[in-house]
Amino acid sequence: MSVLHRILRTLDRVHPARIAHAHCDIPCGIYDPHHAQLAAHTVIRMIDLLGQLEHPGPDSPLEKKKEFHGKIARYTATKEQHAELAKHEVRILWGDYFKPEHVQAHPELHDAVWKVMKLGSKGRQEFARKEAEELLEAVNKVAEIFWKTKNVPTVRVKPPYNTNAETVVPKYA
Amino acid sequence: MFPITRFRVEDQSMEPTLSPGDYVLVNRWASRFSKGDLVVLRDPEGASSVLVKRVADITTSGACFVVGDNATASRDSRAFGAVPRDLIVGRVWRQVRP
Repeated sequence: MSVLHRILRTLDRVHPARIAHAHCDIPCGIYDPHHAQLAAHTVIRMIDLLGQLEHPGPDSPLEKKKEFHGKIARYTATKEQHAELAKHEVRILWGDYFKPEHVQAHPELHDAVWKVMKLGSKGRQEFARKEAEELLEAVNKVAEIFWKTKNVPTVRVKPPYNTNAETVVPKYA
Repeated sequence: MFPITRFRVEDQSMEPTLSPGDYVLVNRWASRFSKGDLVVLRDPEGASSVLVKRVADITTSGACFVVGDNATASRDSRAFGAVPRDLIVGRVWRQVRP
């Protein structure tokens, strides 16, 4: 420990030094596209579940009808929440994490983010699997750029989610 | 006013030049700044807080465009614009590491 540093520290006890912040964005560096990717997979899964529902028919018992309508409501609500969540998570990365030098190195970032916003809204409005898959692909694109800025290689895998769709994951050494 | 005052550094945006716990001795009489200078300034976004950054450029009107050395983890002029002269407290004269 340097003598001058010790003197200054002692001085702090009598009269504390003012703090000069080397300001950073809080929370410092805790970002991950994983949440957005999970949300996009969920949208696909909800569309599949909605497609698999069988209409109970006009003569079926009330219980069956209640179950049918209840499930439609739940799957639809979850689909909409997660499409919005995917947009929200990507917005955080875009607004808080990515810096001008990242955009310079990856000029395709803005387009990928813009696609997530548009397809996320489609994911709420529509019931089409194709558009939900496009949402996931746009989120995966953002994830790839994210990990490139961290110098972490990525690989595309099919996780065991029942969505039969690929996701981009970091390959830690 | 005595020209030299001291500040203790917190946060990481000036790594590896300045680390949390370092002290900087600041010349408050400094009036001319140039690119590369370390400066202490009042936070343009929060009046009560004080920042330490490096001058990356001087605008024609004399304002300082300041950036953290640890650019990817720094909130600086890239977010809040060039800093007018009257918000600059002074230039770092000496830094004191533990």
